[in-house]
Formats: sequence, C-alpha cells, structure tokens
Amino acid sequence: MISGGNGQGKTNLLEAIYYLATFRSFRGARDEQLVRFGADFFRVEGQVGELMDAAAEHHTLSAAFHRVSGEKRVTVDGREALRLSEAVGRLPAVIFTGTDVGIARGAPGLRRRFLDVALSLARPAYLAALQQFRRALTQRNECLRRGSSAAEVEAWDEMLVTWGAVIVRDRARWVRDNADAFARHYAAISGSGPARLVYVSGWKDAGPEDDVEEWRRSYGAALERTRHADRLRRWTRVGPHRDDLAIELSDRTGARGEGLDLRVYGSGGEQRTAALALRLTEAEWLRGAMGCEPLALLDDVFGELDRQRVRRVLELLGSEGRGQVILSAAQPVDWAAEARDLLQVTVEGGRLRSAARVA
Amino acid sequence: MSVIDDLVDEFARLPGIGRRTALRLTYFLLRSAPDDARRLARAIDAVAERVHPCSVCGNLTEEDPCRICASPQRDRSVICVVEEPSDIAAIEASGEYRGVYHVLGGRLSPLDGIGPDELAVTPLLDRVREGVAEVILATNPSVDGEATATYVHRVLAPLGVRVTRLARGLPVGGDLEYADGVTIAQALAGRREM
Repeated sequence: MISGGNGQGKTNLLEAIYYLATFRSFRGARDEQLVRFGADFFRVEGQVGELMDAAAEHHTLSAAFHRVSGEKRVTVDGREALRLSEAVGRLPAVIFTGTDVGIARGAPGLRRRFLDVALSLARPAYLAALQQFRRALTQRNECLRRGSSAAEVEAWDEMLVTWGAVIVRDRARWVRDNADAFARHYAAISGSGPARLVYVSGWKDAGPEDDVEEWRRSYGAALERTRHADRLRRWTRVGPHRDDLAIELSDRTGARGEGLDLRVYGSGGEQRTAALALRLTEAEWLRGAMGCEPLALLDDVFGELDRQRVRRVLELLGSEGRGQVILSAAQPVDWAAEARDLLQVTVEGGRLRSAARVA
Repeated sequence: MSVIDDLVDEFARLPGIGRRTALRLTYFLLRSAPDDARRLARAIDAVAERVHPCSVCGNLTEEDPCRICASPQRDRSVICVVEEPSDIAAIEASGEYRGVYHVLGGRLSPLDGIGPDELAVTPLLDRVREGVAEVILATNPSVDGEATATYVHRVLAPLGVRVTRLARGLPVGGDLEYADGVTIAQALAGRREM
C-alpha cells in the first residue's frame, strides 16, 4: 500500500511499474511526457518472477526512452527486444484506476483499447496483427486523403483484411469465452441484476467466432460495399477500428426485446461496477491464459469507489489467487489493509519513505 | 568547421552509424597510415564514378546492361521483381534462380509520399509487354511490401502474364520457439495439406 498526498508520485510509481507490462503509459500519455522535467531520458527496470516460488524462472525487464532521439529500447534479460511483441506480456499485470469507469461509460475506443491491451499481454501474435493492421489502415487512409487511384487504395485491402480478420476473431472469441466470468463478477460486486458482454462488429452480426476465413471473407465484402463511401469521405469506415464491446443490462429489455445498453441506461453505480467487473475478468483471463498470477495495481480507486466495492475487489483478488497487489491511496486506508497482509509505504516528493508491515 | 568535423558528419549520415561511431571511425583513419585513408577514398570515389543503375533492370552495375541482363545463360522469360538492388544479391546468393530481375526502387508508402510514379512500375510493364512468361513478386513480406505486390499484380493482370509471389513462412533451420508472432501467424495462414 503506497500512500502519500496529492502530487507526491503515487500514480507515477504505478505507471512506471505498469510500463514494463505494455511499454506504454496506462494513462495514454506519450513517452516524451513521461520523462522527468529537465531530464533527457527515463529508464525502468524490474525483476519479474513467481512471488510464491523463489525457484521459478526470473526475468529482468527494462525499458528506456530518450527524449531527444525519440529512441525506445526494451530489453529482456539484458538482450534487446527487436520487436515489442517479444517483451510485452513478460510482466502479466492488470491495473485498476479511478478513471476506469470511462471504459463502461465512454467512447467505443476506450473499450477497444481495453480488449487490445488484454489480448496483447497474453498473445504476442495479437499485438503483431494489431501493428500490421494499423500500418495498413494508416497507409490506406493516406491514399484516400490524397485521392489516389482505386488501384492504389485497394492495394492495401488484402493486408487490412488479413490482419483485421485475426483481430476481430480474437476479440470476438475473447468476449465469448469471458462473458460468463464478467457476468459472475458483475453480480458479485453489485448484488443486482445481470449484465452481459457482446462484441459488436460493424459488418458481421453473428456466426462462428473462431472461423478466421469467414471473418476475412465478410470483412472483404464489407470493404467492397463501403468502397464508394470511403472515397467520398476520404477514410476507411469499416473494420476492427470501428467495432465496439457492448455491455448490456440483460434483466431489462427494450421494445424489441434487446438488452439495454449500459452506456445509456445504466446508473453511475452500475457503470462503475461494470468497469470493475471488466478488470477482474481481465485479471482472471490473464491468470488462465498465462498460467501465472497477474500483478494487480490499484491506483487511487478509493476516491471513486465506495468501501463495499473496494472490499469486494480485494476479496476477489485475494480469494482467487495469491498474486501481488500494489495499491495507492491519498491516506493510508486501514480497512483496505485489513483485507490483506500489506506492506505500508509512503511516498513524498517522488521518494519512498518508510515501510511497516500491517499484520 | 574543421575537415575532421566534416568527415565525422559524413560518417554520421551513413545508416546505423551514430555520432560516437562516426568519431571512432574518423580517429581510426587519422591514426592509420595515410595510404589506408587514400585507398578508402579511392574506393568510394570509384563506386560513385563507375556504378550506376542498369538501364534494363535497375540493378547496380559498372557495365550496361548489367552482367545478369547480358548473360546468355539467364532465362529472359522470367522476371523477379524486387524492391532494392541489395535484394538481388540475396537471391543470387541462393544460386537457385536463373531468370532476370527488375528493381522497383522501393515500395509503396503513401505516408512517405511514395506512390506508383515514384517506383519503376511503367518500365516493368514495358518489359512484360515485350513477351515474358512469368513475373515473380519478391517484395518484402512487410505490410508495405505486400501492398506493393498486390498493386503490381493488379496492373499486370490485363497483360495476361503469369504472376507468382514468393512463399512466406517459418525460417528453415530456425526454432519454432524463437519465431515471432507475425511469422507464425503468416505461416499458419499459409499452411498446406499433407
């Protein structure tokens, strides 16, 4: 448990730890914004191993970013990673933040990002597909923006379809495989009615999630249909970059019997619950997919969440595994510490000050 | 600016060479015999003076047409399309290819302002029209390289020539364990019946 006043460096520390999981800021800040004022670079290094098993394999991860050259260097056990996908996921971690409610309440991009991070951590091939897809999409959009010939625009379609199909197949499968876990966590935290996850693709309603050929075929057909509109609007309107992860309140239905969208019809409390349930689902999935306990980071969630919810989260994290939990709070929160055997640390002016174990 | 600084600057412009390495190279030359430095200068001068693109395929050569285009042993009915002249050296090293080449001079990248007009696409069409049985697309298996292959394939289609693409997949002799995600994903996508 890290405590300290505002601006003393609590979030900073958690951000540095989580950086070794995704090699990006969890707040969405750019690398140059992470460098201390007046400094040229930053460097983070961490030892990653199994908490309960000292004999298990240990790895040393490091990441350094130089502001002037814009160069980022990531190493695994001292060896430079040639691709980011070699290093992402070496530290399985999930972060709970005070702004997580935005995932449930905000724009679809935040939910896509949630899926992308979770899948990238456990599956290097997913991250690679995402990078390939983004490259093809940016190039295609540049062609559309310049008003290039149809042959030039369509040259990018095959790559878009190839990697786009892998992305939506993996996302849709994740949603299918984790829907039950989400519903269970949601019910456990709220005690109220059920909610469910639905992957919403802009071009395919339903069908076998596993069939990448089918996704490829349907995405290709969708690009064909929007070809004319894409040229008029000068950007690519259909693809995984436009999809959404919908959260439906399944005990209440609309006029046509459909589940109601939590974004529109959910209360503030229900949205907070859904965001927490998503994070717990992520943690549970990482545990299953990677065969080890993810590190759980809770950044100042006490301001946003009531005591009952935080207690429930700590219980769930504590009961289902023996993973490491690092929390930050403006004040030492005694009742949260009670839930687990926590080491107390205070941070002041960017320095860790004292440590005492709360029994 | 001294002449030493000039040389450091020139070295630092080379790919993969930073400021520190440029300094090391410069001081290495200053410490070695003056003839060593002159020999290097002459070699660079000769390359700049005598090497130019082949007027047929775009390969770098001292003669024109290049040795591959001029060789009676090469099969002119098969053209292998590559991005850069350095790719030719890689394919030649295999000793497996008997056809001729065509250098595009890069790959499509709208973000960098490189479209078909910046590449040697029209000269390729001209060569194919003169009568060619097969065009092998050997652009890099990157996103940009694949898009370039798709584009070239499309503009070749009306000419009715056979167009093939280099297979992609796992590196031979490599360990599956160490292959990266993209390679494995592509190898899975391109798997074959046994």
